[in-house]
Amino acid sequence: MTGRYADFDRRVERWLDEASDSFAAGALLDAVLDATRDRPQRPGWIVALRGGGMGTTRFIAGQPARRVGRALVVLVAVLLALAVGLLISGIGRQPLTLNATIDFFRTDDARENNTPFIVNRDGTHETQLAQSAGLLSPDNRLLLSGHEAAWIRPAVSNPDGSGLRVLDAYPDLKMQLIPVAWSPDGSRILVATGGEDMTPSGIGLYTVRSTDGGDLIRLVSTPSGDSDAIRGYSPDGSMVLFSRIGFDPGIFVVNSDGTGLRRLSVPDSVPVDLDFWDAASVDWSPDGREVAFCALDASSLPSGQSNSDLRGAPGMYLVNRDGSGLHEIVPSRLGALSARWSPSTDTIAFTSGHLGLVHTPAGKELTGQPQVWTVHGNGSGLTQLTDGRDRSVSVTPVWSPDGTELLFQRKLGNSVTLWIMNADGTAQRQVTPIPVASDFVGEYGWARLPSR
Amino acid sequence: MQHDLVIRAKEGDHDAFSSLAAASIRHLLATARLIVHDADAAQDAVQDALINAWLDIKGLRDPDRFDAWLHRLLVRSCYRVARHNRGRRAIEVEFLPTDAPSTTDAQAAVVARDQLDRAFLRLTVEQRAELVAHHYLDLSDGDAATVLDIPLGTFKSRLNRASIALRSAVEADDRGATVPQESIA
Repeated sequence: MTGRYADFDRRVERWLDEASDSFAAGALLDAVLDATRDRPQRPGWIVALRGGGMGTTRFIAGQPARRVGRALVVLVAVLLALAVGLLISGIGRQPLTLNATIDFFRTDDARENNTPFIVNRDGTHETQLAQSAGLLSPDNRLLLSGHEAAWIRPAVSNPDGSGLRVLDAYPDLKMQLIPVAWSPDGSRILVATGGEDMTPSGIGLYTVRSTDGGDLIRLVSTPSGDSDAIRGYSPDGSMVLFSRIGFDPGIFVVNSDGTGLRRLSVPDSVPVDLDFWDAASVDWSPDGREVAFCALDASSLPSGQSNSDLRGAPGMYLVNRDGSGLHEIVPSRLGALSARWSPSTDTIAFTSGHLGLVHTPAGKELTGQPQVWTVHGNGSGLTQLTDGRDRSVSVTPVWSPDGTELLFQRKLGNSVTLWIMNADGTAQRQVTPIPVASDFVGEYGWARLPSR
Repeated sequence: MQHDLVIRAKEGDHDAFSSLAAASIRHLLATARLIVHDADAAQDAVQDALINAWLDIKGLRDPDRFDAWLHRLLVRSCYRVARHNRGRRAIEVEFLPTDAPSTTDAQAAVVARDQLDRAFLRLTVEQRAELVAHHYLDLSDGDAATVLDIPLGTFKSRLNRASIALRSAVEADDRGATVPQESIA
């Protein structure tokens, strides 16, 4: 505060102090405490590791990231090998194929501890892993995981856990580089950023070279106050799809070199954000020409809703990757909360229903008869696959890699279990006799595992 | 003390969070009211920020950064509320009645305060946030940039522009000129 404007600055400071000096806050404090008293906190740290459109694995830790980080330093270096060893020895009694194994996390009631498991799709040989198995490269030669010392960096190892290499070409960069996906040709790694003390200018989506973590390319600069959830690369690797919540919500694509950022949704459209599953409401078509997404029409929402409390009846929309041809295929009357496009047919599996007001341990309350449905890309063939006759709620279906089956979670009372059914809804059978959680869980998937 | 409360709140202790909220809410409310310039909107912003603080405090890496983190949540909420209220033209310009004797000096002070009040109202919500972070919260440039979620260099240049805009608005008011009122948000 020097120079000719110092007096003016002092005058501004006095005015600000005086102007702020009389605001009663008691009633407001009561309202805040009432609103938070019985409301569960969100998990402390979420790292999503996505696997090429074939389901996902997620590492969730309720502990502060630094504590998790210390654990990861040890675990990634030592227990990854043990994990793979467990994996191979535990389920190696039966040959593993891509379609045969499911990975998931079992979550305690406090949603603090999340333990990785794999299980055969017939429910046999459920095996606890010491650590999430990571993401296999497209050529099956490398395993990608997150490694944290001070900051998370991508790390790769051989499929058996040996030869761990931390891809830290930028040791002085004070931000997380959280590995999310391999590019389809394996040359790049898509990374997200996070951490409340990260350099503000660093928030965004990036890629790094998969050989050494260098050649950091920024794809997206996330605007202040917004949050981007990555769905992943297009099948041809030319684009990245993500959803954004916050001040400027929407569905976006960006070219893999960071050019051509494009909003696919209309400005008043708010993507569905299922707290327990990132980017559940958006997906590429198998040929990568179209995108399906679930969104609320913000112009129809009651006034006063903040983004963290958005509720209502979202529909499902289809749009070409160039932003043209936007149209609704599932009406908001039925509602659409998640979308996953079959890898082999023009069929989208989705969760019907609406977002309610009440908050559960998993996040937002799902209302309006959430069940698993399918619909064709042209909006025809709406088919309900689960009926909830036993008062259960079935949500977030994920296609098997060959597109013949769907994996989904079913909640009955305070018990969530994983189920599989054929693509037409027949032959529904339980995969996990032991519940995986008391409320909806994050990302399970069809495991892509190292071969022996 | 605050460090311990933050640790306990991170572990799910709602009483600890209540203490943190009680200690900060008045200051948060004042800050929000300066930024959004509307009493109801300020309450919405503070409520939103504190609820999000409770929900997300497990993700706070460094307990000693609680204040900066909370202000960052508040600024985001202020922007959100301002965006939501965009288009509303009824803006509160109410400040405290003065208890001071009605002397010439006091009247002059009130006039000066009203002048700054009018000038502040002509700024964008982002400009108000930048000035509040610098002059009212008395943050370092680095901390202000963190709270506002913008790079340091951007903060410095924006603060400079906001200061110029405020001075211009005051000078225009001095001249009695009619200054086109900007969008409030």
